[in-house]
Amino acid sequence: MANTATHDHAHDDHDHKPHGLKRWLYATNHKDIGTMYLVFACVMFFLGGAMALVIRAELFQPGLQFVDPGFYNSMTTMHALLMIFGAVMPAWTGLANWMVPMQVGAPDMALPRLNNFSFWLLPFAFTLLLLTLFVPGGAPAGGWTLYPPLSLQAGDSFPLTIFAIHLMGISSILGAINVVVTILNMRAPGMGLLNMPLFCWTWLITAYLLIAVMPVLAGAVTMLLTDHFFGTAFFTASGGGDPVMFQHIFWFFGHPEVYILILPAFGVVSEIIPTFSRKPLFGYESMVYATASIAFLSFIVWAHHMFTVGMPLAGQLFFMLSTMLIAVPTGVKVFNWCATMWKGSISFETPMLFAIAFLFLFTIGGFSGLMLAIVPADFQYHDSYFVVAHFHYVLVPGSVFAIMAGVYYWLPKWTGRMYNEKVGKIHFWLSTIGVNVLFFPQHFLGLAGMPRRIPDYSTQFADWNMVSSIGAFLFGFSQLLFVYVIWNAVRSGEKAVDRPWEGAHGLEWELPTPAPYHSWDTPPPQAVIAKGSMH
Amino acid sequence: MDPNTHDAERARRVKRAAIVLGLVAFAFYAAFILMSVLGLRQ
Repeated sequence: MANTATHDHAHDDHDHKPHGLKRWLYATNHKDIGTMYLVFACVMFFLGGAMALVIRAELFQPGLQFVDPGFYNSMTTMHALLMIFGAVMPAWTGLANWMVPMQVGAPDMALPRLNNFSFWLLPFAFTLLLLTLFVPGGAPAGGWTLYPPLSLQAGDSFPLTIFAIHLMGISSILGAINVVVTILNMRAPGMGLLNMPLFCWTWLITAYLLIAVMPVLAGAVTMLLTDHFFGTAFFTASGGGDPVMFQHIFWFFGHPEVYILILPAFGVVSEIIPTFSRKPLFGYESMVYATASIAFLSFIVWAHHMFTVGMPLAGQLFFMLSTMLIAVPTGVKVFNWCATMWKGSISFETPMLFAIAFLFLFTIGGFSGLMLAIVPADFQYHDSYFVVAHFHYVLVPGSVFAIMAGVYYWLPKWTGRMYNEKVGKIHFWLSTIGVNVLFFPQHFLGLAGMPRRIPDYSTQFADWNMVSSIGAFLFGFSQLLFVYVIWNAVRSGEKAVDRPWEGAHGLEWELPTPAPYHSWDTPPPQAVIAKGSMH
Repeated sequence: MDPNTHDAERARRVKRAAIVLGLVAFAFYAAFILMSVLGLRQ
């Protein structure tokens, strides 16, 4: 086209954005797609959060007060599906879309149109899933783990749920392919793999996990579909099948899935802690190897979710030992973050507060995980609130806090405006107090014998349930502050400088603020790459 | 290397890598279904 041929390259970074609905529907720009993923994740987080509040409202006191048990079970199932597949995973994909190209010196993701398709699958999939709330039989209610035979007894929601899960899986797989191909092929000259920011490393490894295990979930739910509609008996005992086989296949996906949810968090925290400690990350290479070890080990621990199914002792021992082993590289990472802060010049801006809270509270979640790894102990904890406490500690003050830390950290680069630090800190403290009041008592409930997935409970569990529900409402409503902080920043925040954080290193901070619509059209010079890399 | 040749070569590598990874994903999908079918026949 004549106008691009004569275009002055000094204006390469001009914002030639498309306008209107077409900008978003046909988006191929990684920043626009990243924004869409993040907005989608935020909406799903609030929807899933509302479901959590329905659960906690019902559990505030013993007895059935607000919902019928079937609907309660739908709330627990849908809360998990929305949070895992609708909030956390898309939020990480949004952060990857925004940051990976800027951090590796690439102009965009390797496959921009595939990127668009990957995103737009999600609203379609979740419309299907949310529609199940309104069909005869209601939303799926057998738990997000879809164990047969219970999941096969779902009503009209069953095909919609299965199709929605297939679509979410395809979205994740295509997004992961894009991340791998971008990181391996689109890095600027001079950006070796061991010069990359750790956020890119953790996403590279997460993407490989996604490519391997999302298809396994797809296979499992395909077999559920054929059992339900086409007369197969993969998981039906009366037909010669085995319901426990579903559990094996599901958790072969499910355990790597939880590492998919947390590895990018390790990456974000590894960016933020060095910045606000004004020191390079301690042990960069060991962090890379630890992340890779965690990913590898995640494939050989799955049956720790199934210790009570009647497995042979040898199997129980193997999975117990492999599960305990995975704590070692995780511990390496925790020690390295502490060592990074040691003798650093630390300041406590909101991203750093979330990162430090992550460090402490994720470690608590890890300790309860170690307790669950011990087979004879797990015989008591399995399917109790102790498990619920464990995974919520690693997911909420783990993944969710890290996502928020990342948003606060990079928001100035995205928008060109600073958020209000005072309100950010209030959001942090309310969230941290809320999350602990919500989930810590659940350890006691589990140890006292309260089972999972029940709408009503024995009166001896009443007190801690009341405390937990108060924490839930405190935490839940505090998240409105997060939306306020971002909205306020975008609309009327103070203008941000190119490098708002004194200790920040990385190619993204070499770009102007806000980052131009097209960045790194000309690859960064090697000197800039060397300056951006502090390891 | 001429930038156009470099871009074309990179585009070929990108396409090849994407196809390979897609096939890996499909292989995992098919393998688990196949294992389940073969397992039932025993």
